Amino acid sequence: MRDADALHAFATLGWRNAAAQRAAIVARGGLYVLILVIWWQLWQATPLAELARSDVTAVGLLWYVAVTEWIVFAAGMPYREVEADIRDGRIATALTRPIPYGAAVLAQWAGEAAYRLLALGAIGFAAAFLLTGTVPVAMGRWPGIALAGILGTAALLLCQYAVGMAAAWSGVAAPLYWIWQKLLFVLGGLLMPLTLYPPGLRALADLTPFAAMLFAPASLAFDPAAAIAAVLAAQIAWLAVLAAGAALIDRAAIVRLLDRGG
Amino acid sequence: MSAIRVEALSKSFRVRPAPGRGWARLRAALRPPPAIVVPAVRGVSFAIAPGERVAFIGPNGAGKSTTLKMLTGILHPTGGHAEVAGFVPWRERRRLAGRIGIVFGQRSQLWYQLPVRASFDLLARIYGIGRAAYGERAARLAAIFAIGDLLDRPVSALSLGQRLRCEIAAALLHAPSILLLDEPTIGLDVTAKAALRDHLNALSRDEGTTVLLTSHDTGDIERICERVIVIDHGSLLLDRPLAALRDAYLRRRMIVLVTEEEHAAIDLPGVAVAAREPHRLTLEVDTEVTPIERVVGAALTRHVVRDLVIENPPLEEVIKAIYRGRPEAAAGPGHA
Repeated sequence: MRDADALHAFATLGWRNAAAQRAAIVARGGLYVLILVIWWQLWQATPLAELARSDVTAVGLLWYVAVTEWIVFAAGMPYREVEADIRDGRIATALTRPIPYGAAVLAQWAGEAAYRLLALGAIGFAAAFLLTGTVPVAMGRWPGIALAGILGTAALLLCQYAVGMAAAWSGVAAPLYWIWQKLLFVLGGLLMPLTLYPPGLRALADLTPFAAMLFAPASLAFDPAAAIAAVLAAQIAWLAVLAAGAALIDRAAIVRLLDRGG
Repeated sequence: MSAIRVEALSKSFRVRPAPGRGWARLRAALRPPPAIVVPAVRGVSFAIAPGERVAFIGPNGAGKSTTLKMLTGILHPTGGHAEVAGFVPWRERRRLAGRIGIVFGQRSQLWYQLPVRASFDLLARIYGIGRAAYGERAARLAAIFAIGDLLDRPVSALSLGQRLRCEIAAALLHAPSILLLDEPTIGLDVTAKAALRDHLNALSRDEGTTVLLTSHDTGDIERICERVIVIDHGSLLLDRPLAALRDAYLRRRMIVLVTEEEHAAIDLPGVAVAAREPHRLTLEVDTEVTPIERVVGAALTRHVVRDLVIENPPLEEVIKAIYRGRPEAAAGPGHA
């Protein structure tokens, strides 16, 4: 009960921090819109009809990117906070508190990400509507898309926590983060739906959790036939796997820090 | 039952030697040299009773902070045993956290971007302090540490002294029975130091809080602690009450005599004149040669004494002597 209240307090702190950083929201929102404008121009100049896929339209692709970028921008790069906590020894202070370090960090990130999902969602989806003049899927699907977006963001945060904790071994987490991010962009389908990938690469992407982070929620906005329940179920399954993995890494990193001094 | 019990506590670190430059660095990256085991704490044992105020001192690198980290559970020992408030710190770290307050003078436990009050609110929820108890406690600590007007200011906008007062108040919010302080007055001005020491004494007296502090400031030790544990090179050098420490390590005392006579004189072995002014004589007494009471007796017999003051040399001297490992060194030149 005490832990739940404390975690709620951390989540509230995260929400307030994100709300206080108006310049950061404006900057992220501006970049998000710029990316949408560039991709809209690009898809409009691309002869999509030559793909011989009737379901691929510039509108659908733009909304697909609007959802994937929404998740990536909302998550941000919070792994740097964990990396800095370990590098500067601040984690020692956090470890003297009666709640788990990882739970507190993730609760705070969840609060920050929740605010950014709302703010950036409003900015990005309004921009996508203004650019395309339409919404490609029925309004009834949007609660499912929002939920899938939240689950995708949660998966990203779990991965970033694990990446940040890698600093317990190497002192820095940035190189690992950049590798992870490139894999996310390629195997998660940041810019293009995985259904357009060559079969081999698609099969490989489906074996990784990256598809559940970006492609799965965005596919709901791109493909009106995609089953929301199936997407959410797959995301929850991957979230469970990622949570277990992050917990293992957290445990190993804390053991190492407690052995060597924070 | 002891508040803190430490038995043969040891900690060693495995350290790889720093690689050289150029090819040596590349070779070291490809084939790391074997790690060296560096002992930081070697079989330290002591016990601290509830309500005791103990200074844990030693030169830089002596093992003070390493020991303190082990007592808070954030560092696992290589060997030995410890119990703090009945918990084994490295096995029950989170349960112990509710019973101890920790202040690392160099590290903040407050949230820099938040106002102090928001940090306190967050800590209250982390420690599960009830709303009413928290309100009462926060008000009391704000009064004790004179931080009422700082509560709505962001931590980042506070001076070091203001921040440290807030840090200690934050560490005490959950009413811990044991307070571990690592250099709590570092960087504070004289007034702030004095106020902080008074507050810590009052707290220990009123609430029976056990205090274990490390400090290089002998003023902290003299004004807060009643017992001193000295550690050096990871080993316990000494564990004594502060008064006994002075007696054991200081054979030199200063006596200031204010006399009716313009020129007083005391001629005893081991007694030297440190300063002479009209009606005032300052003597330096080697108490191993002539006990202090003999010198006082002689002064009272031979002169009309208006005032008499016996001064201890500064604790600084005691500590220097302990670190040097030669008690007589504290007596200074000419007395050894």
